[in-house]
Amino acid sequence: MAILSPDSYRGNVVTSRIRLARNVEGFPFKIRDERLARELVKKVNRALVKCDTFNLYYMSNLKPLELEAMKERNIISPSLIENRACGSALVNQDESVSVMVCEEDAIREQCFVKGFHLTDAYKRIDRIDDELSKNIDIAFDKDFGYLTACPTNVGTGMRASVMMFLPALSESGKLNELIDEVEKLGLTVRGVYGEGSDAEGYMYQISNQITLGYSEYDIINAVESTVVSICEAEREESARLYKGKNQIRTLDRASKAYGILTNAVLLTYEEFLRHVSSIKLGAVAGYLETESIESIDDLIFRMRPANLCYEYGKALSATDRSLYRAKVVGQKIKKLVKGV
Amino acid sequence: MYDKICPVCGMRLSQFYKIGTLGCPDCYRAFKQEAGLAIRKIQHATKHKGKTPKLSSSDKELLATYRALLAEKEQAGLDGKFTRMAELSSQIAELVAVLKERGLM
Repeated sequence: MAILSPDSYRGNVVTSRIRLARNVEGFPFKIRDERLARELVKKVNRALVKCDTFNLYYMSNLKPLELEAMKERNIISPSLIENRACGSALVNQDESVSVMVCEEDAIREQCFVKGFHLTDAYKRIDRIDDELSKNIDIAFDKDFGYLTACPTNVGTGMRASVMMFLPALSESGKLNELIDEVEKLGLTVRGVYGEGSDAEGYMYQISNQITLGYSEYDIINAVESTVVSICEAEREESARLYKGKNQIRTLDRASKAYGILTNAVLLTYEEFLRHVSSIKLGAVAGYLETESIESIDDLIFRMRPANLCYEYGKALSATDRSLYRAKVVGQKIKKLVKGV
Repeated sequence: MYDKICPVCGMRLSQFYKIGTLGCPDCYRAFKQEAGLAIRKIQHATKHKGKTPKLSSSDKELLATYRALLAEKEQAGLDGKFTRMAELSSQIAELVAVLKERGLM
């Protein structure tokens, strides 16, 4: 397997995430009792103050727009929102770590970072997990490992995921063959926005399925080496589809996308994602200069419907969102993208 | 056929087979064999090889004792054994002081 330099991941690996599922002896897995929920969040809060500064959010105190915006930023999950009466989340200042209480399991810890940094994300959440388990009787069995509501999560209770941008593999149809190979290794690939090979924005999430029988670092190594292989395959396919005799077509595509994004009066999220993906593709192929690929990824997160409204300061109708989005994107793309 | 029940949360084995999730950590002990088979099928493994929690075994025992005393006190109340309830309350209060000192409460 080729060893790629860190630059080879640029643009193709968007974010890395480690999630740990934990439960507590003497508590049900899915907590629906508000008194128990309060008791648990007090214990978790007491443990976490030793690690970092966390803000505590009770889901019952948040408005629907705030909940949706936090979900879009991957700080909380749909399951936590479903258990709004009991659910809470402790989130650190830069929102890279969130500890959800009363989700599908009693405690779900996660570290979410930009770029290809699974091991770093794990080290950070591991330290927090150790602090929690020094003070709370975490449910554990010597054979089954960490005990969880669903047996699909027992053992390490860990889900290691990487979000990837894969336009070439997606457009050529080769991603489907790759998905079959990846699944044989005990990993899964799914579209982040949409389903299967028609994922919008060419965004896919690769994560482990198996959580028992391997150490945490075994799982991380398996996901990392698979991601590196996929990056290599994407790079090869990209050279075939977007470079050489196809260079002018790729540049035309990126330039037209630039024209639309900097001149549109109305821009739905789907339109934005479609065109910004063409710009990103042009940037990753080296035909457009950008301030940074990460800034384009940040813009993609910011322009999601709830976060857009949250930034604006209130809920907006679909038309008003499209209007505001077009304005923000137009200004931002002009600043971020050169060479057009 | 006998439908096993978790003594702590009341989940039935038949419910686990139907919905695929368990109710509490003690369900894994109550349905050890059945859970083990389900886990082997899903995970293709039955033995944990990763990290372990950091709570010391003595602290774990103290917390387990605390939970057992609470459960016994609740049962004594249901059985109308009020003298026994008072004794247990006193034991629980002493244990709570120790747990607080150790930062476990």
